[in-house]
Amino acid sequence: MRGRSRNILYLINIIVFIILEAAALWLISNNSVVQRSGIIRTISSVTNAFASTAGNVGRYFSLGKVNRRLAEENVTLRMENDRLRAAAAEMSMPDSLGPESPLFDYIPALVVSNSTDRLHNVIIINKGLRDGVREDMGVITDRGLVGYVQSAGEKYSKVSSLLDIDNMASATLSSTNTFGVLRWNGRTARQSVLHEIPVHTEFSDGDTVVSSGYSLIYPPGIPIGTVSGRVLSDGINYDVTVDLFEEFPRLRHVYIAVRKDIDTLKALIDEGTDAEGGKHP
Amino acid sequence: MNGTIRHILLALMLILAQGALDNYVNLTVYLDLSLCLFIILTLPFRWGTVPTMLTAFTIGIVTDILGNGIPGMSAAAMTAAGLCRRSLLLATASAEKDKQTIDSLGVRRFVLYSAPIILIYMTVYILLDSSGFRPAGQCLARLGISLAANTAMMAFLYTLSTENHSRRK
Repeated sequence: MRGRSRNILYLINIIVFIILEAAALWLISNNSVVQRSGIIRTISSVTNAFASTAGNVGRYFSLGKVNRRLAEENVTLRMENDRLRAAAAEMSMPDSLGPESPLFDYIPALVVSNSTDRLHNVIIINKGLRDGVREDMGVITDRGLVGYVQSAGEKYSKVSSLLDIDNMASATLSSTNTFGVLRWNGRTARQSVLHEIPVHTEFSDGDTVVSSGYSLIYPPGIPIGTVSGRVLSDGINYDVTVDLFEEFPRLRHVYIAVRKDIDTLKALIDEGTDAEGGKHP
Repeated sequence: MNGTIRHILLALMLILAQGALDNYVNLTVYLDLSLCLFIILTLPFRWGTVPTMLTAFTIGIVTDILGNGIPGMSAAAMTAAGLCRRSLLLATASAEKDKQTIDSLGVRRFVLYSAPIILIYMTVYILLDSSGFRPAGQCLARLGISLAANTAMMAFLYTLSTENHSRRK
């Protein structure tokens, strides 16, 4: 109680002090040009500093909104990039055969949960069936492949991470265009291994590894990492160690790659399987 | 003559002396003397901070007007000094704070108590007076010289005042 009244007394003292000082400064600024400019300069520097701090705080709290907007913008740019790349690749084709639209659409998503310390790591993302996410869709970032959608719920989806020893993806050494199978060895979240690179392939450490586009789920040309070593396997192939660009422990924003013609391709594959089944029951 | 009237008369004399000093004595740019600060320093021991600040502000305005200075400058500095007066007085007073008066402080304690208040007063006054247009070195020299001169002057006035008071008793 005593401490409270003491605090109130301090507050009154400070308020009276501020009022009297303000009155004095008002008098000074009304009676001297030099002092007025000094006072105005001081006040403006204080208010500028305050405004700058307040602005920084405001910007910090609006970062989420900015991130969402950037993610949407990234989707648009990625689609535009795909369209232009496809158009450039098909330049020599007659117009009638050229691609009308990019192969993939993208859905931005946020990582809700992520593990990197197990042999079968999974990621949960905040997009599900209601957002158009389906099983077996690829999940990527601008720094590499992330995995594929293992199961999709109404609001969330479970992604089998690239850091799963059972997860495989087709990747290409960009210097030689030789493709192999990318599969994690379960050792570190910073590296994966590109298998089945023929021994005669000429490449060197630092060469870039990108997605091949031979799988149905990942777009081609997504950078994955760089070559950092090789080991001869079976005498005919190299197992190439790849330093991943993506830092999985820091994964936050991802894109779900939606292949537009997936149904057609799946139907084609199923048709082939059925035919084979007919031949060989 | 009781203490209040004595104090009011002393205040009037000091204000007039300050006006004369500001108008007729040409001190260098390195020295500011503030006689009126003595009024604030010797206000009754039990005075609260708010009455002290109001008194300081009023005396400051009167000093500025009488001394043909910029109105508000001494008032701002005096008010700042008034804000800290009570805390510094309690910090420098002896253990028996209930029986303590300004006169019983003694010169040594009075100097210890007055020097920080003079420093606050001079800092605010010089900052406002220079308003960033005078070199920092000059301002610091002015602050140091004024602090020393005013502390000595306050101690002298205190000695005079207490001697006079005890003789009357």
